[in-house]
Amino acid sequence: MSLFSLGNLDHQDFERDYPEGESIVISSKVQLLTKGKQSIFANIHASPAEYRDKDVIIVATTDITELVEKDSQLIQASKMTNLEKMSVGIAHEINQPLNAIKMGSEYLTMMHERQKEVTEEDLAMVLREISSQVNRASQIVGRLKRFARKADFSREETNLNQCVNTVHKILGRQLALQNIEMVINTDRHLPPILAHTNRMEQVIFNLVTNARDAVIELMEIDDKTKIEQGKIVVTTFTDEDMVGLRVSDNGAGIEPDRMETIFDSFFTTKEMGEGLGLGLPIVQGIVRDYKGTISVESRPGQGASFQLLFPAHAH
Amino acid sequence: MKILIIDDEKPTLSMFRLFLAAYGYEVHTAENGDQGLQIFELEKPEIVFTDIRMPGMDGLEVLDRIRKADPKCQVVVITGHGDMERALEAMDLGASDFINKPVERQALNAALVRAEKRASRSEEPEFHFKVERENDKTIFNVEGRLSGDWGGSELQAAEVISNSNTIEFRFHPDFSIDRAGVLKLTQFLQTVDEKGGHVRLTGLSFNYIRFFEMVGIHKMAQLIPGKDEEPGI
Repeated sequence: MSLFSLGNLDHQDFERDYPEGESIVISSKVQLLTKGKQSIFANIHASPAEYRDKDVIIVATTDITELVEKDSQLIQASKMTNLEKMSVGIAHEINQPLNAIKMGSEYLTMMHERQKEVTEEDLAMVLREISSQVNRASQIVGRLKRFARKADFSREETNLNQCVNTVHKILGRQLALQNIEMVINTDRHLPPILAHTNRMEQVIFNLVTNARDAVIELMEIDDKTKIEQGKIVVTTFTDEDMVGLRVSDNGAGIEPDRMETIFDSFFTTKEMGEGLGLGLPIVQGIVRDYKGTISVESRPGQGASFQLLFPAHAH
Repeated sequence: MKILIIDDEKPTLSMFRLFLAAYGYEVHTAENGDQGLQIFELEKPEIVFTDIRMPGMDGLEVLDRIRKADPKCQVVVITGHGDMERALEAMDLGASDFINKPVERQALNAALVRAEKRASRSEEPEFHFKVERENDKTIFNVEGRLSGDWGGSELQAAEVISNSNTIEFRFHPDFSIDRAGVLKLTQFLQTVDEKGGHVRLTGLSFNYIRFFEMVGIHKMAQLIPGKDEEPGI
């Protein structure tokens, strides 16, 4: 960093920007290199003071590398927990292409053993299908691998539409099996934001699986209010120089007295062992990291809607 | 003979069609439960294969409705590997057999042979349990559906064990079981196992062996397969 990042140091601006007795955050979580060329994360604070009758600024740089790494481990752990919960569904999904491959090859073996002729058309179909089902299985595996990978530390231009599509590919079919439709409404001209693509996928994944749980909760209630078809709508939009994302569902919703607490760590309405209550706090943490905000609206019994807003990243 | 396959996976349907047509069946396919029931009404197939996990109406509901509409129809459910809970539910709803995905040829053959035999019967066989002695071996002949009212209590197990160390369950080809039956059988085998007895289960079809392995019965008894048959062409 240079002195210029402290802003205009004219007397007037100085008094406005650096009120007495306060410490101002100049930058948070910036990546710096130490003398030994080692990369660290630091927060930089500035406070006005007086030194020998002169106005001065004391700039303090705090090494927060350890904190950032702890954060990143927590975020990763939360993601792996989510994936673990999905494992039955994932196994089922990978089983589908495997089944077609298995049956296709067993069919050819059987015909071969019985010395029966396979028609040109059938043979071509089986061979084509085997190859395309292998592709399908490896795409599923590839998507999971990319999703499970730990995000690296540098931010990149992230297209939220792309993140939404990835999450849709991972969760869409499993939601369909639970009779929940996932609708994607993306703004084609959405500007990018500065974030980690992988973490934004995790945020959307969390919001969508929360929505799913809320929908299932309402589906399982045994009275007239229950719904037949669940619906989760993911929308991206632009609002002046902000980029927005909304996840809405027609699930159980959130009771008004719980609205305040849903972002608190370890708050959970789920049964013991079902959730740690770290999903939304982690989502909020990630969103704030990218200078974003998160807000929620809900009508109990009718659904909830989570909205994220991020500053667009200018080229 | 007519067969209906219900699965939400198109590639799976194509492969079933090839296989079953080669075996000489008239094959019908449906991509979901609703469509499956419509075709069932229209074509009246003797055998139905249905996947369990499908969007909309799931396979267990399809099974239940078909069994209620025509108790003679043989419904084979296709389960995910190790999906024990649903396999048990399917047994309770009167599934004729179940096969695991990915479907092996041997599993498919066994299910077809069994379903054909059962379909040709006029009614559900009654439960028969006959005890025989052969030297120091006790043989249980089991026919029909083994369920919760089977009297193979712990007392009986103790009694049997005091007489002979080796027990063989001979399962008739039309043998079937439900959840309560699985529980009773497991309890019996456990008691015998604790008392140092040796149990062999014979005459089991390929898919029943897989099922017994899934519920852990193979840890208490030796599972011996019946002879392999391939459906005719």
